[in-house]
Amino acid sequence: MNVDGLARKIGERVPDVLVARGEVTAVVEREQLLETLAWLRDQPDVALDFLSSVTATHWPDVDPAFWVDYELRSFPHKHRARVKVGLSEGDAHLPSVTRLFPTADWHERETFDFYGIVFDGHPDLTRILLPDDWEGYPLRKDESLGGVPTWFHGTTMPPVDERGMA
Amino acid sequence: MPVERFEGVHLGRTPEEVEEEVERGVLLTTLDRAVGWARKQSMWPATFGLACCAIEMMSSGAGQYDLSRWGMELFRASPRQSDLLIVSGRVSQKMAPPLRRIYDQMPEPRWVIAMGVCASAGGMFTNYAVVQGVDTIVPVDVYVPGCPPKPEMLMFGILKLQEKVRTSEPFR
Amino acid sequence: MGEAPEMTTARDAAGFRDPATGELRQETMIINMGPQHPSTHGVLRLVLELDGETVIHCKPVIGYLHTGIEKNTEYRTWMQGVTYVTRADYLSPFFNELAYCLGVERLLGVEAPERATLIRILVCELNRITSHLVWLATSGLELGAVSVMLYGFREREVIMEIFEAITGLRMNHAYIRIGGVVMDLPDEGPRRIRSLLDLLPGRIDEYETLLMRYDLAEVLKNPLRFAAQKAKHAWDDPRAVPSKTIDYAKYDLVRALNRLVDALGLAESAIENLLAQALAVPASRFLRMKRSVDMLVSDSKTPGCGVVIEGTYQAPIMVQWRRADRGERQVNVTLTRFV
Repeated sequence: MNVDGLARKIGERVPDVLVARGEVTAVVEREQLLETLAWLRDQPDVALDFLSSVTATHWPDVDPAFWVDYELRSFPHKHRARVKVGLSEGDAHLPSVTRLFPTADWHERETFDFYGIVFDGHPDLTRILLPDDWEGYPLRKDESLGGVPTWFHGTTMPPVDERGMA
Repeated sequence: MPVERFEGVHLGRTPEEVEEEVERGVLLTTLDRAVGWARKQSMWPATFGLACCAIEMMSSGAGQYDLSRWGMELFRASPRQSDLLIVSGRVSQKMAPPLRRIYDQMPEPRWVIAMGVCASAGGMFTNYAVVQGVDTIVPVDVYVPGCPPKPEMLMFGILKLQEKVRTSEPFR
Repeated sequence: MGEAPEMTTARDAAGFRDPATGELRQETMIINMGPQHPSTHGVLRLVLELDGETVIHCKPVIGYLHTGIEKNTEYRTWMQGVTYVTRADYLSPFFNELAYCLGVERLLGVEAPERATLIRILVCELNRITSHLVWLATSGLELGAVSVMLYGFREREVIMEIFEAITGLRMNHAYIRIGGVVMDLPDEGPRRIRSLLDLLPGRIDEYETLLMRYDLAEVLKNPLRFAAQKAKHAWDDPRAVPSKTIDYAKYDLVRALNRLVDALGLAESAIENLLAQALAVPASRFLRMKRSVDMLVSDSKTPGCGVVIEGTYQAPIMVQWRRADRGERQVNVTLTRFV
């Protein structure tokens, strides 16, 4: 199935499907996430049966401040699709998909670790890459980079986030 | 009964001959020098591989570069048996407590080489996750620059460290 | 007869016994393995829950090499990002660069020229060899074959020199850039790669002789004879037969095989097929590895019915067999390698 066919097929179930640069993206609401992913997984001619990644992006000043991405891959049909859920700043939680895809376990922990997005029903939602006692969520755009000034003989150079792109 | 003497084994008969014999067969040195020389000759690094530099460290230990020329091919798995900690690669904030614990477990005298720019000063990873220079955690003897340093550079650093160990004066 | 007085030992005082029931307490033990452990090759920590010597639960703890590359690239240009992603996996830097650059190229809607694409494939394939050599070297190290590590790194150095000639660096090249590669191949590049290709196959044969005691091709010519010879040799050495299996290995091998062939009414080639199947598994080339092979052997008396011969391979080979229970026609053949 080519990209347009896949987008049409997913469009039967999900109203908001985008095709950009050869990639299919389905945008769903938080309430429909679990049933949409289950449908995509179990439909024989879609069969997106492997969740290769869960990650998020942070957009500080617009309303869905977080977009959580579920990258799906189909082993039988060898195509890919992406499911996105928008979350607002103060309400960053959504149901865990570990029941549907066991691979989501560590990916959801990583997303929690970096963005502070809470996955309800996750078996063990703890920090995975950062130390357990870490404070803050470093990949949010309002977190600073956290570098230190570099010392040279007779001068210092500020950390990268304070000296611009140079 | 006269003790039979063998030619060439005993010291000379006259005082001049005795002095000559002593100069030929006895090495005079200070204790500092002897200890420094002994410590320098067989230094056992701990196997502590972190990132890219660890691969270059393994290359240094392998056949082409052959660290065993300086008596240090024996990478010890246990820090309790090693003298030298080669911090090879970036040290994350999560790795910093184990690194310090490994350093504390090493017996005195112990030395540390910060291999690569990440271990020396944080390098290109000036961010929240990486310790900006391992010298904020443990005392460092030799910094080896490079990203990653070539095995020759690591060897140069090791030779510098050996020079330092040899000329150190542990009993002063 | 009165009850024996309660004995109070040091073990009881130390709390090994439950004070209420008096039985030895059964508890699991939690052991931390890593992050600095020689067998984890760097920075993996395993929290193991042990019941005696059995691991009943293992929780991996990762993140000891979390570098924050994502956050750093937020403050850099797209072109500078290559420098960061190449350090993400330091054993195969070209692949990271390629994946990143292909992603950015898709965003831009551009495509690299054909020559650049071919150079990308070339360096990636060379990189794959170096990465696999490190795998082989360290795997040998874990199996106790330290010399394999030295040999693996020797060939890796040859390829690293080619990388150095092409990109200027041994690792972390930042060679593949968005829209192509950073520079063309040097003049001596193709010649060096060709000489590498001449060199490598012979070297890989060397690894095989290092990791295997016997040449696989020679064994496969006549596995049955090989098995018979080696097992006879093993039979003479009492240490070669582990005590657990001594009950099963009651018969001289050649006689046993002959009986097996007679009992099943099989041609010799069927057994040979079984052995060849067992030996031809690449994973079994390494020391102390076993491979079970199931094979359906048809019975001569009742056509259509068959029995499965189960084999386990180690070499030099000792074939052990056990007489089946009465009423069954099942024969277990175990190929065991004694080192």
